[in-house]
Amino acid sequence: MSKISKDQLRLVLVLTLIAAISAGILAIVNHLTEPKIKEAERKATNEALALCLPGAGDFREELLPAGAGGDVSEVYRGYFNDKPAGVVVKVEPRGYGGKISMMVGITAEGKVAGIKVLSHSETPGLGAKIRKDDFLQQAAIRESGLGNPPALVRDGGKVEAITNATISCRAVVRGINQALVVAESFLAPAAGGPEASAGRSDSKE
Amino acid sequence: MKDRWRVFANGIFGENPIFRLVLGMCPTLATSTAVANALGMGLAATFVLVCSNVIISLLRNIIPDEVRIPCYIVVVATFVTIVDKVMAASAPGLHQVLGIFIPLIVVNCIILGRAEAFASKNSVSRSFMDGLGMGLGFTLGLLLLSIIREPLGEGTFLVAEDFGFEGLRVIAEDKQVLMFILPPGAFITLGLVLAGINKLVAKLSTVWAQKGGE
Repeated sequence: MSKISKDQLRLVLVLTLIAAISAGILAIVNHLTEPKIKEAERKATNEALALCLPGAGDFREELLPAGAGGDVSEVYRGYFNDKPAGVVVKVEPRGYGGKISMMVGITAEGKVAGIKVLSHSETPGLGAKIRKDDFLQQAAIRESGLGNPPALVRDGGKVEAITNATISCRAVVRGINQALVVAESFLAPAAGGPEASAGRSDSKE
Repeated sequence: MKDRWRVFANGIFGENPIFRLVLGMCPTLATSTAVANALGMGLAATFVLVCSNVIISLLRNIIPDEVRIPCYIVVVATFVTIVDKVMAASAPGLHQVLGIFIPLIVVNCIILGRAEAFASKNSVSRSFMDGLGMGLGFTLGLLLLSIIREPLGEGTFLVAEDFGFEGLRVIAEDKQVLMFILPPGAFITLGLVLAGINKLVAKLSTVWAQKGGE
């Protein structure tokens, strides 16, 4: 065994020291910024929730129901004065450039109340237009709901897709449909009747 | 003092990282789609560059030659993480847009290049001025590209949602040339601007040479 020379020891010592000091500094920075980052995230979530379900003032996160579509990631129940006002579902369907993270608000009556695209990586100028009201606020989407699921015109529905962005638009519509399925399982018990929970096929218009 | 300013100006003109050294092309092409993004990226890189240059210059006699690269990387990564955290806390929207390019400042060749080529051989004050000059040179380069790309590609100018600035609409919607904010537009813009600057530099240097001769 050869002895470790003084020079070799110095290499280890200097690098360890630099790494240790930098770790200490980062711990302090993390401690200072963490609450602010959490706060900003929480604020963004709350703003999005309120936008999707304008009638509700208070939101509580719920566990995902069994049988939720694969793209559903979070479910919130909205309350107005402690009365259930609807459901907001966060879905992340695959678009053209990656996941489209969006929230869909559904009222207690089962109507789509609002949609907000949180983040996406669609092509700027084409698929990125799914964020715009021209697409999200069209009548075929605003009037959709349980028993009236949205679909693109070329898939036999009434939703007008954005030119050259069919894949992105289809992903958004798929997201809405998955959100509706989840919302149904939350709203059905509240509606009470045995027909309401019997399944999607015979839910009323 | 004059020497310090020469070091500073060298980063902006003589050895501008984007247009003269052609370094750091990846963030340059990717984040110059809008003026706000370019400014955010440029200032983040400038902060890291100045801090890492100063620290590395301070430690230049302590850091052994054999482990200098890992030492530089640790110093640079520390400052990049600070920028990343602070930006996420204060400007979440900008942080989301710049995304992966903030952590990637760690391997930005301008920063490691200046640490190796300049800060490790020069005094603290000279390294500081070098970092500032190079950083601002990088920022100006990004700004120049984004000032061309944003209005042509997006049709807007100076949009900064994080700071509640809606920007100006320069070109009517649906009349903009989308290509300019897509990757091909980045290469074309950079190529044309590079050519223009090379032409300008060539012209200026002949003018200066003539003046010197007379």
